[in-house]
Parts: sequence; structure tokens; C-alpha cells
Amino acid sequence: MQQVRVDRGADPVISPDALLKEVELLASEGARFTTMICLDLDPEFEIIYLFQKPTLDVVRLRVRMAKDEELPSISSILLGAVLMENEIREFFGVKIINLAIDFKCRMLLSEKSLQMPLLKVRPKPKLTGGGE
Amino acid sequence: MARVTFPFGPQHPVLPEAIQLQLTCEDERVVEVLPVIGYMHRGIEKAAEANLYPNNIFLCERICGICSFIHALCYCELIEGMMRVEVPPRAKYLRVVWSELSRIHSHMLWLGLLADSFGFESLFMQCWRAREIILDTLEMTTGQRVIQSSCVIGGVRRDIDLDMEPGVRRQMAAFQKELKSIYPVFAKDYTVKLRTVGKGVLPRDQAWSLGTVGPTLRGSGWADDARTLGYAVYDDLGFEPVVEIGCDSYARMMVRLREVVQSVELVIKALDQMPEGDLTVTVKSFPEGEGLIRVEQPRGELVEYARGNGTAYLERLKVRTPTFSNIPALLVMLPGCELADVPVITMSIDPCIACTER
Repeated sequence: MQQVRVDRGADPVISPDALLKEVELLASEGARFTTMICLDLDPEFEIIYLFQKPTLDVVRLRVRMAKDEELPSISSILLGAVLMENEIREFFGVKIINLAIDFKCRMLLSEKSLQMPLLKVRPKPKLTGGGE
Repeated sequence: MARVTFPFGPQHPVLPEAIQLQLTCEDERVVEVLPVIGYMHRGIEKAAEANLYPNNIFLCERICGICSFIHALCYCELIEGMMRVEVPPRAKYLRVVWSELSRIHSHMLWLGLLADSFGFESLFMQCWRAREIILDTLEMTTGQRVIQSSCVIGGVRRDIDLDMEPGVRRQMAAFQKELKSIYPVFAKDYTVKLRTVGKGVLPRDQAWSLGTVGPTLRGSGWADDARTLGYAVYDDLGFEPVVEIGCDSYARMMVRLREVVQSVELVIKALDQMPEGDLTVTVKSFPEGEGLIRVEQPRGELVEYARGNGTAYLERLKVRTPTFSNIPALLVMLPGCELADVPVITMSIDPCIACTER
């Protein structure tokens, strides 16, 4: 029977700096990318990475980061992650850098769409000043 | 040699849905490809946060018209798992019957489209005529041909009773008769082989590392199928994944063709073994915490994640559809191929863009 409930406490939580090293280790063990899930836990993002081992078991890894922090792309190690990374960048505004293919936030949304639509707390518009 | 870059799609006779491939060619040979999506995004994950959680079943069913039932099944099993709801055994069997009927009609639709992509019009029509039998069966048992709305949290909404069951068996026998004439054409016909064998090769190691799923992965020799993970009652039905080792378009086609045969057997077996009993249990609480589930769609593994907070609304619903994982494989399959083979190779991953963009 598939275990559906997720025990948050059992997952390793790492910083963005440690991500590439962890993914390299997983890839060297034969794991592959399954998906990523981004959560807006204002004032932070939590990103859950799912990897699948050749045994079909899923490995979860959580990255917790400030909203203005940069997150390295894992697409140089596992190219299959590139579309999901673009989607998360587009829908949440997560600053993912060094993407193997960069759609520049125009993969699914158009210029006229609401930008970063999955954010729970939207950034306040900057006051631009100006006269009366 | 001069390189030319041009768009293949989003509107193209071979593409059932809108996706663009930006192809760079040297003469007639493809050297680079960039898949471009974004023509039909509907914001379903965002909408799911605004709906009462039971109403998301109807939303999830509309992610895709071809594998609608399995989207609903996946969402229901996810919420049931989070809330520790035990579904009645009869409902689990009925879920398998409708899931496998959905798989058959999805694969038959695809086989027809594949035949159309290499110009075999009569085979295309034969596949779709056989598919009508399955759609009629779905209509007979659920009242709907495409979006069945038969899955609910805690069980199923409808039954296949003793009066209806012989009708389903007759339909399966009629379909098997049609399939018997279609199968050898795909498996052995000279022109079909000419257009598919050795086309769009996806080596075994790359199929794995790129994250491909479903028949795209199993066609490269991996026995990876979420039905082995033990949802519904696939364990009791003795399910074994279909695997081919050719790594090309022909192998992916044969996986789907053999899965059609297998799904018919699973439907009959589920009808044979289906116990008497209730169809649903009452569910009163609200989902809390996090849940993650994997089920097998016709195109591959569907992954859903939900985060509940003990209210009637979900904080987050994430849907990772199979085509989303299979698109990167085109970056390996297409470079080096002849321009004339692009339609067949693209079709060989069975792209579902409605699923991909949600």
C-alpha cells in the first residue's frame, strides 16, 4: 500500500548553498528527478524536491530559503528538472539561476497574465515617487 | 551547411493540441530542438486553492479529457490517504475497471493518431471505430463518455450491477474482436515498421536520467509502473508492467498496444473478482498535513501533492503530469532525425498538452 501521508519532520532540510552537492550525490546513486513543489510560507519559500531511486522509492529533500535568496538550478545535473524550475520561477518568482534552458518567465504565462500567480503574499508595489 | 530555424506547430495536422517545436535543420536533418508551451495554461492549481476540497474532484477531472477519470481517482486517493479513509473493496474494483477503460480509449486514440501521422488513414479510422466501443461502455456504466464524474472521496458514485455486467463483458468481447484485426497491422506491417523502427531512439540510461515516465520509459527497458505501488486493487489482480527494450518509436508503440490487451484482461478480471458491498463511506473531517501520491496514467506516472490545514480548503495542490516529464526526452530523440520523422517521433511520447499546462 502506498504511503500517502508525508512526515515533514523526516525530510532533510538544507540551504540553497548545499543543494547542488546533495543532488550530485543522489544522481551518483542513480536517482532521477521526479518533481519539485514550491510552498509560499511567507516570509520564506520551501521547495520540496522529489527524486526517484531505481527501486521506485521516492527521496524527498527540502530547501528553505528567504524570498530574495538565489537558488541554483539542478538542470546541469538532471536536465529533466528544467521545465519545473522554469515553472516555479514563473509562478512564484523564486530566483533560480543558471537554468539549462531559460524561458525568462514566459513558459506558461503571457505578458498580460497576472505575474507570480501562486504567491500567497504578493510583494507590495514600490513607490516610484513623482510629483502631483 | 546553412542552418534554418523554423516553427513546427502550434497548429499542425499531426498535433492534437497546441505545442510548438522550434526546429533547427541542416538540409533535411534536425540538429536542434526547443519545445515551446504556454498556449493553453488554465491556472488549475491556483483554482484548486479557492475551491472547497471535495469540489476539486470536478476541477481535476477537467485537467484532461482523455485521462479524466484517473485524474479524479488520483485526487480522491490523495485526500483519502491524508484523511486515513478506507475505501470499500467494491469501490476499489470499480475504480480499476474505469481506470483501465480510460487507458484503453486513450491508447486507442493515440494509436489512431500515430497511424494518421504516417498517413495510414484506414488504420486510423479502424482504431477510432474500436475506441467507440470503449466510450459506449463508459457511457453505459457512468452515463458519460469523456468526463465520468464517478469518483468521490470515500468511494465511487455509481455501480456496475448484475444487470449491467453482462453488457460490459459483451462490449469487451466485441472490442477484443476488433483489436485482433488491428494488433498485427501495428506489430508486423512493413510500412508501420519502416516509419517507427529505429526512429526517435531514447537509450535506456537517458530515458531514466531525463525523468521520463510511462510507455516512454517502459519502451526503453524499465519496468516502472505506478500500478505496482499498490493503489486501488492492482496487487490483487496480479498486475505486471509491460516492457519493451527497443528504445525507439516502435517499442513505445508496442508497449501501448500490449497495454491495451492487458487492460482488457484487467477489466474482465476485476469484474470476475469484484466483491459485493458498499460503494462509499461517509467522510466528515477535513484534510490536514501533507500528502503525496503517484498513480499511473495512460501517458505515465501522475504525481499529486496536497497540503491541508484542517479547513475545507487546501493550501496547495500540485499536479505533476506525465507529459511534463516526457517533453525533455524530445531534446534527445529529435536531434539527428530526418525532418519527415518529426511527427512520428513527437507523437511517440503521446504528448498531452492540456495535462502539461494545467
